[in-house]
Amino acid sequence: MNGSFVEIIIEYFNQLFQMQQRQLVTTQGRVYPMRIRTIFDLRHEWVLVIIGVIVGGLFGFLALINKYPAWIQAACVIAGLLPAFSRHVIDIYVKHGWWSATLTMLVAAQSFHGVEHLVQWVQYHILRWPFFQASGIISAANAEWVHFGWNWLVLATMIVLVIGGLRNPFAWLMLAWTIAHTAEHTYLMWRYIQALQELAALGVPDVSAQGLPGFFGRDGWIATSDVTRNSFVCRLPGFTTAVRLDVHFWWNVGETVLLMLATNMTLRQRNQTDTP
Amino acid sequence: MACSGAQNIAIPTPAPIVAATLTQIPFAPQATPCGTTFIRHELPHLTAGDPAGTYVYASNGSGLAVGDLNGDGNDDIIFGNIAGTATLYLNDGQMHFTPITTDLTDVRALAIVDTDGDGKPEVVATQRFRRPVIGEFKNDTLIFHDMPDVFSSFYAMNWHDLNGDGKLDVVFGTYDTEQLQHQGLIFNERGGGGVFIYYRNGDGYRAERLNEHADALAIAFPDINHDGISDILVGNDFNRRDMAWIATPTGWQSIEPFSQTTENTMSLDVADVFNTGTNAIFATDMKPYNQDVKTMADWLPAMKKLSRPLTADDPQYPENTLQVWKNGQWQNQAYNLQIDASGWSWSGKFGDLDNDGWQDLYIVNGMVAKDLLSYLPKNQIAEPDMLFVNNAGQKFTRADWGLSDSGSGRAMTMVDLNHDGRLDVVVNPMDGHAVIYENQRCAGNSIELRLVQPHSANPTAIGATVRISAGGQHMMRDVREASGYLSGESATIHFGIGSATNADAITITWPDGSVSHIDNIPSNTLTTITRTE
Repeated sequence: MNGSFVEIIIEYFNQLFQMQQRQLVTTQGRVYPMRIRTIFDLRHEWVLVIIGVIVGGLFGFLALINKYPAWIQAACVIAGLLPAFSRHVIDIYVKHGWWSATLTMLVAAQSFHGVEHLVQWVQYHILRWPFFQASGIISAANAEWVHFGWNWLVLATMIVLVIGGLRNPFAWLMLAWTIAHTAEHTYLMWRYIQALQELAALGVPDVSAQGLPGFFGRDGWIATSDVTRNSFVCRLPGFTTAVRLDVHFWWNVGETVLLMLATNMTLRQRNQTDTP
Repeated sequence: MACSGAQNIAIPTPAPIVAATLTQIPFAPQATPCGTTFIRHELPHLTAGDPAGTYVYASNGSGLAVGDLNGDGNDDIIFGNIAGTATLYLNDGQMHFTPITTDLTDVRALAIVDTDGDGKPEVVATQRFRRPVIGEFKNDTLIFHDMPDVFSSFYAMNWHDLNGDGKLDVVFGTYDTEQLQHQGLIFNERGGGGVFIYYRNGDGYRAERLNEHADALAIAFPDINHDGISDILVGNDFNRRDMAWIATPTGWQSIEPFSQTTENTMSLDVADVFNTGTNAIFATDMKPYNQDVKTMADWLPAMKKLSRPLTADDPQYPENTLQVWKNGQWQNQAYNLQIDASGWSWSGKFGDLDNDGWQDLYIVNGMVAKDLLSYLPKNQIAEPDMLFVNNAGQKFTRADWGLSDSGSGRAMTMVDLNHDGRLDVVVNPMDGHAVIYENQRCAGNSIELRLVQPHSANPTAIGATVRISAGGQHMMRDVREASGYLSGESATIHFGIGSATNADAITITWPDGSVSHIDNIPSNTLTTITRTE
């Protein structure tokens, strides 16, 4: 990658960060090292958090009484929290640089995405909503596009972070995990678009085709393909027996855990290196 | 609707041994050359929906039943109809059938059963918007009259001696969703529907109502709690939970025995699938076999119309189930055995189609409905019927054997029509001609048994169980009136025994709990076992 466009951009931001940090040290004294808890520590933005909750909640309530879908109500609350989180990310960028700010955004967003899957899990297994209704919070807008877009974003961000120094065994595992997960969502998106085209050809374009099985899990390609039928592979517990919702719940649990472990390891290494 | 209080159920005491005599006839030689497939014979009978096109409910089609109506020793077939009339086909035992038309229309379930114990079976039919009728076969004509003491319209039915008095009783189930559409709320004002037992009482019947709502497509009598007594299982359509009642000394007790069930139960079959001497319970539902994009697009609009939110404790899932008794509880093994998905499935039944000693599974599929499937060409989901071959109880492998018809199958049964020791298959499809699949697979020996109770009101011993040993396998079959979806069963039971030359250690448990033991029955014979006490 030497001399590549990406390297040039990274180098530019590194120099910018070093200049800003020199100024910060000059004005505020010592900058405390970045830790994993720093990512979730919004205490210094508590005023904006409270205002965000109130304003976002108000808009969410208005959306509720105007009978907008649940995902719009949830989006209002999340939008209310964005100013506080944005300031938090800027603060991390100023103190620790672009790499740490990018990592903060990814870890926080991935954690929220995990909550989304948890909600989906509760809707399906506890509330027993039909599969096509158990779409979580934001995914209810369109589960296929939300998860497809999200996973490509995670993959792109991971690549940037790896280039920027997120390099340890957990990070490599996370990168592989993310590539596989994104590949599955790409397959799902391809099936989704194909199904929509088929439905349109049948004259029923208003029927959603979200939620079709993917590679893995119950009724997935591996479980039902003529290639694997009647072999042990097509009924491996979990691997080809779990419903799609569970499969993706565990995809995200794995992604979140690996990201946390990779982040923790890299931050510790960096902090040791930075210690005089 | 005549109702009475709960019936005390006679619990059989320890089994007395009774004697039985045997009459054996060798099987007829194979009429057609041996092959690997079934030969398809199309009959003129055509089950039609509505003249203007087949809509939902009418598209559920009509039943069929088999039994020896004219006493010539051959199982005859009657096919129901919706818009047209039912047709009886008299069987000469050599794959020739003589049609006899009837005036019976709007038929759901059919049975050929000796309801009054006079030694001559009758035809019983439930109808869409009329009370059930009984048809007497006289002078090559079926003459129908209303069933005594039964005044409601029913859908599913099955016959069994439920109170141990030696007479055959019947369980009927209503199809409320169709009745509500047809009658409106007046249906409820008139007393509504549900599941009813009609106990034989003199020349008539006495009713016991088990519940007030049903969408019953299938009724079976498995021993749910393994106490040696038949219980009642009702499979319901339209997300209505299946219902089960177990026999207790004080009456029928409602239970929910399964942690996972079908959501739209289309048929029920009870069979010793694993040769363990214990029956498993198979139910069909609607789930596409292939999950490719084209298939899913065909299915999605209809499934979205039919799906409803379920409550947290609801055990229903829209796929076939095979309930297997393991470690003191029922466990659904259909997905693990890859028989959970077979399409828009109707009758699904087990039978040893290749005489290897293991019961195979055959399921007929497809849907046609001008309203529900208006977006599809011919308003139809055309799917092949599915045969799953039982590989020594370890797994099921899909095979063709000439049975993968893409007609819209509904009722289906397996019966040896030409006494060659091989199970043939009979199907009554919707908007299609009735079909007989003649079995010409010659591998494997078999035995066939007919049980006779000469001085009983249940002369064909419905409810009896037969256990045999052959070729190292232990097998079990029941004599029953109906199974699958609206499908009557032959009173002749069939055991494939593979390469074994005889069956030994035959134990017959008669409907009253008495037991007969027979040491040996040679292969490739039809044996009539007549109880002498």
